[in-house]
Amino acid sequence: MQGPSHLIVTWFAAEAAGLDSPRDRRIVALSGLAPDIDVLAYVGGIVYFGFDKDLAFEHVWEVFHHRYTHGLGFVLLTGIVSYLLVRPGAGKEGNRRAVAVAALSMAASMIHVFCDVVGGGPTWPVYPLWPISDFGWAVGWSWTLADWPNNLILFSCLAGMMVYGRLSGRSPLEAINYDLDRWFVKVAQQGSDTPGLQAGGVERQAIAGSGSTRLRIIIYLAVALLILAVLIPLGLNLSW
Amino acid sequence: MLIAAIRLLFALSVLGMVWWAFLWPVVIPVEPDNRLFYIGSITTLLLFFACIIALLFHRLSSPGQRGH
Repeated sequence: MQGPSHLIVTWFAAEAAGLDSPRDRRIVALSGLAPDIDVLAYVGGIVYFGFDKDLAFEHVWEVFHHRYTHGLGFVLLTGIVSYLLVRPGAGKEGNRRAVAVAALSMAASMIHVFCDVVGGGPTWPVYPLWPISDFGWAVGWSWTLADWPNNLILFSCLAGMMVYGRLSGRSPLEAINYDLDRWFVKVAQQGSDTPGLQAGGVERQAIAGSGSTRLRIIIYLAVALLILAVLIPLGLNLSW
Repeated sequence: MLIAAIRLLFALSVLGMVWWAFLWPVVIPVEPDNRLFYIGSITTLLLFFACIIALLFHRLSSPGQRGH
């Protein structure tokens, strides 16, 4: 499954689980994306091998990807880091909250591993028991990144993000940046009768002027182009 | 009552994912194209998405849940 799908799905899972704090939702969503942090090793490999992507792919990406961050060890690490991020200065109630966020973060990390078994491709095994065991496994029917089920999930996630942002006043983008989230929600709500927009008063009414629809279309087209720019080099596969 | 049932299904779907990704290959000898794994994992994924959608609709309809 693509990185943005992991982030959006786990943010929605945190939201569905009833987390009220934007920071807690952010921690869970980033925990859902975190196993893909091994991409940094690939970037480092490209630099190390003098920007020879083939060498870096063979010696780093094929060795590292899914091996050290898609298993029990990384899940536990995610839980500990999440707990420590929530815990400081918290009382007894805060401790319970920290445990809940840590548990959800670990679940998010495990959801990522499951999604990569189903939608990571048959040639990219996960190592669920690492560091206890170096046992890796993959299923033959697993969708590659460019296969239609992964694309359907990605586009559904993006559409869901827009609709939910418009209706609720918050979106998975808060996992990246709160200002970006507020800007996105403002754009998504232009022309809406959502109560949050009505309460915004003069400023929002001014923004919801004649240029708003054009701006929204430009943003949606930019997002679609960005997705295609990522997927086409992967060999976009829309066949059943 | 309905929401409690959906929350339970949501939790079960997450546990199901843990089962399929972490426990299944250990408990069951790995067969890359096992039919039961295919049906079970896809059903779990669909159940997970369905529960999320239902819980988000419930959250949207709850008072005081809009905005940051």
